[in-house]
Amino acid sequence: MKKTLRKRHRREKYFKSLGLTSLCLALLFLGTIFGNIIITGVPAFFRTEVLAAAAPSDFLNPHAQYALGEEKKWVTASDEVDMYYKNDEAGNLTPEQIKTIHSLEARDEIRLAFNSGFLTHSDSREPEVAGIWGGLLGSLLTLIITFLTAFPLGIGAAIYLEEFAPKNRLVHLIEANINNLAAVPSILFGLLGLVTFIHFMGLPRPSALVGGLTLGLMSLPVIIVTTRASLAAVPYALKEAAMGLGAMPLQVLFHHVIPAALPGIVTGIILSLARALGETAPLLMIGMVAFIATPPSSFLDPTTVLPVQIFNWSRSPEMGFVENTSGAILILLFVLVLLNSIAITIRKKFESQYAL
Amino acid sequence: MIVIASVAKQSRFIMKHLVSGLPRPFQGLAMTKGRLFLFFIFLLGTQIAQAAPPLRIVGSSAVFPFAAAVAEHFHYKTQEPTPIVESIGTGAGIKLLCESQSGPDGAITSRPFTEGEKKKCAQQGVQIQEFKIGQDGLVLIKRKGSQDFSLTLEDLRQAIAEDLPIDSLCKKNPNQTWSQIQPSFPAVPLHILGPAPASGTYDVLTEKIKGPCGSSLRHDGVYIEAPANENLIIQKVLNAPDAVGIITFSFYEKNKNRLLALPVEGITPSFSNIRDGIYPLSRPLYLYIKLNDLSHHVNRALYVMEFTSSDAVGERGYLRKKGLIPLPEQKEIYEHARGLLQISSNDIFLKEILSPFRYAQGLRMTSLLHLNIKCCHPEESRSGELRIWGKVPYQTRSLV
Repeated sequence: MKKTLRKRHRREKYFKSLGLTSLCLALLFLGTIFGNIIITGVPAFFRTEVLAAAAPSDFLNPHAQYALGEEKKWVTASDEVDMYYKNDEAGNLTPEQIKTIHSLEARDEIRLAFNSGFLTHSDSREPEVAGIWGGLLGSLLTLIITFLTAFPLGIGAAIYLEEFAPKNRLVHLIEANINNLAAVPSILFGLLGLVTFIHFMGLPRPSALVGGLTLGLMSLPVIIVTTRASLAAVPYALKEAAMGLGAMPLQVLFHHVIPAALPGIVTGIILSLARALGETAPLLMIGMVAFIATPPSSFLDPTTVLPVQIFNWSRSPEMGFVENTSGAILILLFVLVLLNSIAITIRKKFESQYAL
Repeated sequence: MIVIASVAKQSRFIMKHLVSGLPRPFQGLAMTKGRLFLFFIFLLGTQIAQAAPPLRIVGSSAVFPFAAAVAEHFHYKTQEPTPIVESIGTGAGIKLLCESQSGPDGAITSRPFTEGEKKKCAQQGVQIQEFKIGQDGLVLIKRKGSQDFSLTLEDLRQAIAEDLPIDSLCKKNPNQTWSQIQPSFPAVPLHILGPAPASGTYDVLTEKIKGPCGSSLRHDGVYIEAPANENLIIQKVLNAPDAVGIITFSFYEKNKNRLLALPVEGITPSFSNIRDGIYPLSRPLYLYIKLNDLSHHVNRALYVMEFTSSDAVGERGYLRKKGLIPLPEQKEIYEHARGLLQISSNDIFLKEILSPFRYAQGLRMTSLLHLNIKCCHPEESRSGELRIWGKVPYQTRSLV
């Protein structure tokens, strides 16, 4: 008796420690990734500036020559100077140039400043002046299209399937297919978008419209599945009570079922939008991988999105792009965390109002 | 009509009830949702009319960093929209360029068009103009501090070719260590990272090591393809002391302080050796410009001029800093590009097209344009039509 009890306790302990180990391991991995990204990414938010009058012309960024007319005192330094001043990476600087940097430093003619350009500029081939604004705006436009396509279609399909559809074989087949589609690798949706929107409909290629529609297709099954799940979770008693008071089916739906299911629906939508925001593969498939230095001004303009810009930067030879890549990842993570916390807040708020 | 009306009525009903279901702070927001949607449709509509297309250049990932840098300087000098540059590989770029008379304006390639590709282009009625824009080299890299050795093209073939002639028969490559190729080489396993198929770099590599047993590279894990990501190759080489990477000169140039370049046939991959074509693994880079659809013609010509200008490839040019090696005959190529721009001296046309450039900061280019008023595009001189040139891009017109 005692022996078996001890055995059971040991088993329990063993299982608990196993769970704890896996949790610790996961946290360790997460910590490594975040630590690495933060350490390499934070310098991207600072830039080296030199006093234009004092520094030799090859210390300035290659675009400084076009800023004529406006007499700027402090000018962003070239990426090689930047790399040396920030990280002591000599790169291809000659010893004389390094000496010049030190003498500039002694005379306070070189400084580290907040890199506002990283947030306000668009993509560039020069890491010191490249920024994420174009990618961020492109992501926003793309997400608007994604939302406009996936939200009405997804909610409509889910409500119909859950509340009105007859229970026959065809509907079951459709349901099974939607559940499968939610698990399909995203790159296949890229293929679908390529064939449908570009080859068949002939929409302009690297545009927010095509990207958004493709991501909309991708989020559709997830939205349908989550919406259906939250509709199904509404207790039948609520519907019966409403019907008992003489409400029409549509009234039952819109007055009682949907408000009660709303927290789940909204969470599902925001989470699928967050997933769409971080998605790269389907966008690469439809050719949104171009170098675009002008921020988009419409849904049809050539557009790039933040994850694709990160992908592009990671392939660039200049060392300055390494920190830019990590910096852009930090921004993307920040936006994703923001979206997720909005989802949580909304769910909490609605939950307290329609406590079941 | 009735159907639409009933749908509208129904949707209003749904909307109303959806809204009444929402908590109060959200109700006002939701009421405007319909209007918001209409606004977006409106936005979409107005912007279809406004879009002024930038130039589009597609092709090789090896030329991409240069083409994109040129695009930015082109934008600053002309105030035209920044050209879009896509890095999709040489083969894919050529295919896209030749697909139709519209579409991309140019292709950047790391090898010339093949006869088949030229034929395909001609079939579609696509006229192209070739520009050699510089020289590039494939560099064999190792981690700095690891053992250095000089190899020949034959050694390289022994290392990465799939089939080798052994006893006058083509057999699978048996070499597993460097010392099997030459006894003087280090006795470390062969581990070579290089370009993947569909890139022009790969085509050049296979052409350079072409032997009696064909040109395919081995697939038994000794040669590892890194698809269009040379940073990855550099990273791997830095982490593995015995690995050898094959990258383009521009990437080597940017990471010189961490990498060691192996001499090929006793020649180191230096700027002058590649420019003069002495280094055996060097190859020219090309820019192909489409001559159809003349509404883009001025911008295309200006883009090529910027690519070959002394600002870009001169002694302290920005492309030189990025690792592009200009050809000895750079001047003539620039003149050739300018020839593309030789325009009729129709005054009205000149005013319309050229005056925006005075507003741009690239004053040098403007003066060039003004000096260069001689002839016309061969086709136009034949037909004597000048009006075809009058198709000024939207953006240009708005600047006048």
